[in-house]
Amino acid sequence: MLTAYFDTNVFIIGTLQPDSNSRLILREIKKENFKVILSDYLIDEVMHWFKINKGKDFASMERLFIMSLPSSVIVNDFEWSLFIDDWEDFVADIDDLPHICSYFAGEANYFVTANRRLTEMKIKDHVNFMSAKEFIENVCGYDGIDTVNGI
Amino acid sequence: MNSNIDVVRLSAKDSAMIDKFVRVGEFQNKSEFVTYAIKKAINEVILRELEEKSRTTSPMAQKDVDNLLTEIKEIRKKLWEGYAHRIF
Repeated sequence: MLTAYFDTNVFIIGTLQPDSNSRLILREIKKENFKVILSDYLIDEVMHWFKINKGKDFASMERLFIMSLPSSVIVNDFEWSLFIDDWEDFVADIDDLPHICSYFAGEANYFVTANRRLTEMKIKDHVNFMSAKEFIENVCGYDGIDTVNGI
Repeated sequence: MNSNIDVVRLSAKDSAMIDKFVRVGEFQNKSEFVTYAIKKAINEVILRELEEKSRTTSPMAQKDVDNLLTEIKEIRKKLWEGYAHRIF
């Protein structure tokens, strides 16, 4: 089964933007055609953003949504930290490292993000980065929506 | 693992259908099927509710995306400090 790691921005945009490729991805996840790799770090980020910007109730609902995603696996800090030594020299911002390491720990095939800066780091030669639009078109096999950065 | 035992009334048809899935090896037992089905239903109901809440949101422009990425970066930096303290 294909496996994908979706960055924080995919969950936030997918939740808030009806006409976005990220929303299409959230719908695709329900079909269980691929496995979703999550991490404690990712869930913390999503929760923090929603708490700050949408309030506690919305954040709790988002948490429940993420925790109930079918075909998902959560990589915890003990697991992703095992990969830090291998990949820290390939990432310019150390705080991005948990996401990269979770991608490797979860043996993901795709890393979906709108974060162009991340996709331009040295790590790009080892991680299969793609935008939400590219994921919809190349993996799900239908036309994505034209949006800024393919979000 | 903490778990609750809940009794669920199923129609004979549904119950037989689940038994069939178990027999053909799709699920290890009836309980696994029910857990799977409930998780899917919860996810679907919440996604519908979240979609409802964001129905009137206008499309994001480049500056909105940039702002969002900056906000996430700020959160990421703070979170990393906590995680790094635990890991190293």
